[in-house]
Amino acid sequence: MANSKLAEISYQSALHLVTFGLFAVFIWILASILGQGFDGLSYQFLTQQPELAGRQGGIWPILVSTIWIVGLAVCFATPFGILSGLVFSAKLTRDTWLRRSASHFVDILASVPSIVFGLFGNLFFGELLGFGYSILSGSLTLACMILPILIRMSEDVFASIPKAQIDGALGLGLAKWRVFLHIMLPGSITHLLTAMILATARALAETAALLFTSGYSLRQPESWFDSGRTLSIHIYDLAVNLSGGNQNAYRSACALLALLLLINCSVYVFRKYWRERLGKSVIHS
Amino acid sequence: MLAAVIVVGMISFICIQAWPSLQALGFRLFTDPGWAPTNGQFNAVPMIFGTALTSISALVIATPLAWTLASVQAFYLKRNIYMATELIIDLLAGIPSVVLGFWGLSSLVPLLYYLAPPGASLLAGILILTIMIVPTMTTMFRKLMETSPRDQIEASMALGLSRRTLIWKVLLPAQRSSIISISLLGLGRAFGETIAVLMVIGNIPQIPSHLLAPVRTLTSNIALEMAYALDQHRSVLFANALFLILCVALFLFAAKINHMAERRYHG
Repeated sequence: MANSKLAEISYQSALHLVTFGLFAVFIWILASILGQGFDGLSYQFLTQQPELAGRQGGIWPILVSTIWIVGLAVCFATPFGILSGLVFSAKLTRDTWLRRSASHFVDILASVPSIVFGLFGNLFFGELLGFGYSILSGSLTLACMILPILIRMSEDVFASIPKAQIDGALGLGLAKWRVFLHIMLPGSITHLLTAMILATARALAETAALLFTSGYSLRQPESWFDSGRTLSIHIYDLAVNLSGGNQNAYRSACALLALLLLINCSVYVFRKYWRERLGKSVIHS
Repeated sequence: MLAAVIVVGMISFICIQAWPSLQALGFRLFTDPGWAPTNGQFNAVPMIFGTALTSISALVIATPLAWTLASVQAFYLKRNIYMATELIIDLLAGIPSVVLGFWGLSSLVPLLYYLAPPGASLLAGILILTIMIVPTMTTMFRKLMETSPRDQIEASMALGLSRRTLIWKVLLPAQRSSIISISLLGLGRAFGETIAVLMVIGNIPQIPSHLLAPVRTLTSNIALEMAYALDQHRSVLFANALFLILCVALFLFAAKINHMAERRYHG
């Protein structure tokens, strides 16, 4: 009896050791990046032009291209994502081979390595469609990449709308597109927006897919056919290709993390706000 | 539908680009004396080794860690601490790989340099990959723990089993198949990871003789050489990409088949 108790206690302490160890590593990572990047992260850093290929100066043009690329990618992907989700939840309801194979394809798309997306984008958008290294081809590549997230999430949202509501609306003689526009969309808009925000976060974090599509240029982009680099590529370039860029790389990493944190927090706040406002709404989350 | 078009389009584009080299080189991709694109030698075996070694070892380390962490979260922590750990893990799962790679380059590699120069090595790659996949796997395992059948948990509690016995003797056998599926998904993610690994791994195309030797993975090979590759060299890189995509699809299907077999078994 005493033996088993001892075993239980030692097992529990081992567990706690592992847990604490892991969290210590995680906190070490965050602290070292935030600690070294916070120094010198100022309004000037965000709004100045970079100097010496980014070793000194700010990151303003990079922020501009980041917003362009990520924003365009989300704009391109969202309509397709939502419509595909709708098709999945409304048309392909039964477990036919069509549904199965379509969902296999979505899964494959979700698991394709990002560098392969980069090659594909370089080939298709860059060379075949002639966009070259540009914001447009970068954002189209990213759009392909975030598509599966949007499809999966909107499918779940649409599937969770009570069937009685849809049937009721259809029974009243509303056209299908009106049902979609006036019944399904208002009920699920928060969740769709959440999906968009999460897709944005995914796009922001991406580097490999953009290396060969949006290019490296440090200049401020003037149109979407210009090349531009995102924050992630900037960090990569500073850390790998340039010597003496570490301090600014830390700062950019810090800015990127802050941006991601902001996005994640906005998801939480957003959800809470809507849940309170809608009360017992159409969808229970 | 669009997803299918993109997938088919992507694979066929890559096949078309890879075809000339596959036709011209064939098995030379595995038997050439080394990787020296300027001399027309394209042996991909070191890169395949690099990819397989880093991701499989990372998986072997990460799976038990993530599973333990998830079990602690689900069965040992108080409500508010649980929420805090959940938040931290979500946060970590969202760290961009380039940031993690940069951390590895500036903190981890110098540490390993003390052990044995050059520091950028197989071990660094394994550690970074482990740190990358632990949070996502923990989230998946936690969902698994929380959706485990209520009656199993209640029955073992009623029998007076300790939590340790519950987790190891009741839940672990029941979850075995799901654990395999989740690990396969994690393996797919580790296989495809590019930037973080590239930054810490040293990028010398060789079969590593020990843990602290620099290696190169398939993904980093593509990322590094694509910028200046021409003709046959470029085509070989596409062949590498094709190999990658096939591997990842294979893992995905293995996970799915495993899942389906499990469902059929349980009726």
